[in-house]
Amino acid sequence: MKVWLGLAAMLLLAMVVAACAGNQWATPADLLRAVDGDQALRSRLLLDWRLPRVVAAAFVGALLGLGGTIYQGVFRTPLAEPYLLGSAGGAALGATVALLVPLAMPQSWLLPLLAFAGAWGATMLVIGISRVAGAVDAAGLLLAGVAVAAILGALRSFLMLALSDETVSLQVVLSWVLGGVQTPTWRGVALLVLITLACLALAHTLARRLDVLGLGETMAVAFGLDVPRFVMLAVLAGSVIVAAAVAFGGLVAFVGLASPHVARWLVGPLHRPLLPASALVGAIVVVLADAIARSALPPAEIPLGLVTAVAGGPFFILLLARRLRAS
Amino acid sequence: MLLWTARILRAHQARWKRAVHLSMTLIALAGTSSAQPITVQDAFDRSVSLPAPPQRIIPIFASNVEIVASLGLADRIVGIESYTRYPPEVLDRPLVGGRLGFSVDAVVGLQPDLVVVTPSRQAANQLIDPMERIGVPIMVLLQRSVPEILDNIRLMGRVAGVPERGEAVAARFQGRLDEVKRKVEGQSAPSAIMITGRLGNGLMLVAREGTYTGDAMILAGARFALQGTRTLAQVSPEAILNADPDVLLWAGSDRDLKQLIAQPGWADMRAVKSRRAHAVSRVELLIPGPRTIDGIEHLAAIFHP
Amino acid sequence: MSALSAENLQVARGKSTLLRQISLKFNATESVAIIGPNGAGKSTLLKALAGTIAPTEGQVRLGRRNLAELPAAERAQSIGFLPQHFEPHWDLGVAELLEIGAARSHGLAPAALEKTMAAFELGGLERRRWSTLSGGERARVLLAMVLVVDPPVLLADEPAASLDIRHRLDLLRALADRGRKRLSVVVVHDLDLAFSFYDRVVLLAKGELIADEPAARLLDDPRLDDTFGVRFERLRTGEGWHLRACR
Repeated sequence: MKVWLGLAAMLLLAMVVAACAGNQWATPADLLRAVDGDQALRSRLLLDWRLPRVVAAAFVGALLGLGGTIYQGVFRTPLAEPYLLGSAGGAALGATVALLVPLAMPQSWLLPLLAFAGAWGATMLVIGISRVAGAVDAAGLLLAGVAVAAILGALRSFLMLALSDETVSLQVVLSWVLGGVQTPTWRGVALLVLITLACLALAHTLARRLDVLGLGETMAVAFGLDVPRFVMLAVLAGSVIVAAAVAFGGLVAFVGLASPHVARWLVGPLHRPLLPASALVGAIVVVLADAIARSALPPAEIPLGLVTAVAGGPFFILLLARRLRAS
Repeated sequence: MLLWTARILRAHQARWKRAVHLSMTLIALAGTSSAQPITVQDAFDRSVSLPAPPQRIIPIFASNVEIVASLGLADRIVGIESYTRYPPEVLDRPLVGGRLGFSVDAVVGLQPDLVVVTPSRQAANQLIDPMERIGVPIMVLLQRSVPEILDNIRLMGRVAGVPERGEAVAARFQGRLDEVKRKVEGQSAPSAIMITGRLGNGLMLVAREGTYTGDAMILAGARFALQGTRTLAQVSPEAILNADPDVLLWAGSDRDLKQLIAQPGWADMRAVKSRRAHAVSRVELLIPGPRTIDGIEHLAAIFHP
Repeated sequence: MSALSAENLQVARGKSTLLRQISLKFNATESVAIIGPNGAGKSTLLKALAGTIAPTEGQVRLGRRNLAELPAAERAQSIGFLPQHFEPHWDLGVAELLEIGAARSHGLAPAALEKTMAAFELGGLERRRWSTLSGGERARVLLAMVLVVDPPVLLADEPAASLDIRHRLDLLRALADRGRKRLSVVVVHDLDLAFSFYDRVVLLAKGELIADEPAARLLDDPRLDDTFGVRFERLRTGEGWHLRACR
């Protein structure tokens, strides 16, 4: 119980700090004034630009934490992370098309839509390939994922070369690929919140079966789990969750990999508490990383994915050290 | 006789100068005293509205800064970014962005009443949406041709509340362009290639048709040696060697040009052997602003000495 | 009607036949030891009986019903399966493992968990993690996990030799004792313990059923010697039997 309160409090604190952070730091008093309806330029900046971004960052982080936990549970490897089955490549391809090909729809809708479709489509492709190859188990999916990611990456590079010109530069695509929360409108935030709650509910239904799967395949079957079917279901669910995260936040590295581990240290490996804990941890990480991204190098903004990747390295080393010490 | 003419001209000069000063002052006063709302359409067909002529302008990118400065409004510029190097009087203004992108926070912190961007790098992506949401007027300019650069000057004049000045400056530049046209018309246009950059893998960037730099070359009286450069900006050095243009231009330093043409194959090009390989100014030809006119004049001198 | 039966069971993988024409019937309460030399197909038989692998021909029946047509959840509640190797992927705690085991049943009494923990002497171990448990403790936890829902059938593959002698003894005895109230079918490697503790012994070799007799009768059967390729000296001891192998 204490752990949950602690996590919730940390998230709230992180969000307040993040809302204050930026090129020019605001105070909590400024925040209150902005929420109150003050019309000054500064308050409008906080209310219409910074706050929706901080809230969106939290939910993107939650989705990444959820997706990462599901993938780690399905593939039973601590190195599993949300972008495993080609979803990163697919999302990047979709985003590249949205950013470089002039299409009729406004980009604020097109970008998340195509990123989502790309992530989802790529995972479908991976599942299809492994089905055709007759290897619909964890190893087969992983291999197909590697192949699909390579193909999609090449397609994306080609599009980038062929479609960029003076009006749209490659930097636009690059900055999306490096990850960053696209500030949604408050309506977009509401949509994101709904999506996240739905994903939490979906993940909850998988929790018990993920526990059983973690016992090993023979035991899982003996415990009544239809392993191939459940792996497929869990992969699909995980992919939807990751695709949603990518649609709103670009390719943010390491959060999906690290949050489940941190959450496991805090609440243990049973998935019923682990999934929401991982979501909370992911939210805290992304909110803080976003705050750093916005305030570390004024007046520039570091892409969010870079901040999380730079933090990821030391985290990996820590993880490795712990494992070595344990064995 | 000559001395007497010179004295009269000088006297007239002084009077002309005074007259110009007076009219400029009147125009300036007229500009600042009118508090009428202004509405224009920008290059993305967006309607940009201001309640009054803007006093705190943030032009993103050197081209837009130079356009604002050419209208005599440099003192209204309150923020620039790290790509801007000219004119010197604005270089002390606070920076709102640069290589790593542009900061909404920094822009808003300067309390601007107009932001001007070109959709290069990430400027449009990172700034249009937030400015619209926060309620800061933002105008997008494109520069696909030299006439469009002049239109941008006129547009900037209109949006800044000094339409006549915009017209005047554009007209002056147009006059210089007409002068160049007179000079090169009727002469046969030499084939030319302008190399604007070099990529790590050996490919080269060249000035292309459909861009203001390419347009500048045409206006200065040349024709493109390379066809089909509309789609991909990168060309292989072989394509350039094969095209063997009459004139080879390098947008950069003389030293880099000498290094390039010393390479095997390059030294045998017609343009190199006949000493028609020249280094040209990057700031004149790669910033779509007032100095492009200077660039065109210099190019014309190279193409038609 | 038997509690569990195999009818003409055949299991092949690729070109090799692992089990050939096995037919067996088990009662609702008895303790059965399955013995045989390496490669006899003991584990394969157990897995087929548990429904974790599908037979190529023939079928397994739970009561009257075909095991293959039983919904997985019901199968999980009715048949407890103890694998030869068990290594949970995540470092779960003892209480957590029992919880997962108990989740197989929907109508479990809340006290069942505590009762099971007491029955297997897991009292002080609730918070301990799997990786910190000794071999004997692990065996008990695994057993508790499988038996917490009290399945009518228990199929156990004797854990590989990671247990020391005392724990192996206790485990096999406990599995046999279960046969008094439920069905307990155990693959046993230690012939002494098979004949000492179990009512009935099934002998397999090279995928075929060699003998299926009450323990006392099979003890003296020469088929035992032939199958293992040795001559056994049968020695009666105070607690049971000792079979001494000679060439």
